[in-house]
Amino acid sequence: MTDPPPTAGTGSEPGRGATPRWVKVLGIIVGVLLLLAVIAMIVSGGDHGPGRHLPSGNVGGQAYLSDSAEPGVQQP
Amino acid sequence: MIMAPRLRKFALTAHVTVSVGWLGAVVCFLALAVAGLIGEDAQRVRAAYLAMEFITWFAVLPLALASLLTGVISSLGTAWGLFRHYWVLVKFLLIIFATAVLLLQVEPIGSMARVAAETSLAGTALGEMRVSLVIHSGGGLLVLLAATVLAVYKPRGRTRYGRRKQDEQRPAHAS
Repeated sequence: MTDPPPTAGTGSEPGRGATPRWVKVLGIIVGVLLLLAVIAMIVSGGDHGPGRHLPSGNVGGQAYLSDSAEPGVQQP
Repeated sequence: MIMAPRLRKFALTAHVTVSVGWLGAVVCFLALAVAGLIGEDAQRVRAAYLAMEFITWFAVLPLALASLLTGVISSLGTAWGLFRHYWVLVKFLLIIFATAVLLLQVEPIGSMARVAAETSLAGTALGEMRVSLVIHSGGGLLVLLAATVLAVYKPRGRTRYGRRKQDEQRPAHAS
């Protein structure tokens, strides 16, 4: 999504050497979100890997059976 | 290397197509994740998690990688460059982040599908995992929307590297 190419005057705007305001605002937002993520990790025990939701061992084991269904048996 | 106009258009068309497709695939994934979370019919819930694995492997993941690849080609093949303008750089970082999180989620999605295939998944079984899938896909959708906004509005601002490159090219154009 990089069309059309920049015009010759794009870089000659006032305050050319400064970081644009939208970049600073975005940086603050990202910083706040990262901080919230770190806090959430600490509160939840410090582990945020994809495997934390899945207990170790047999994924399809009996521990996940929420009723009397046997593995592979269709429910009515 | 700057691409010829026809090649540039082709690369841009490919990039827009796969990027919009990625966004749509994530919307479908999110819809299934919500259906799996709040659904009361056990068969529909299981079907949702089984479908999510297929969508991930055959739509979300290929489209994400294609979007990243075509985006890099489109930016490097035009005067925009990849590191010269803040909006291009920020969008690139957003896509890298979204793709990395997606790759980390592939395994849990597969595990969830296996559990759905082998058990009834009724009630609140694996509730934390089901909520996590909704949160991650919802967050991914927001990141993709942010990238789309950047691509459309193209907010001004050159990076330090971009300003240096511009200064280097000026004498060459003047002579």
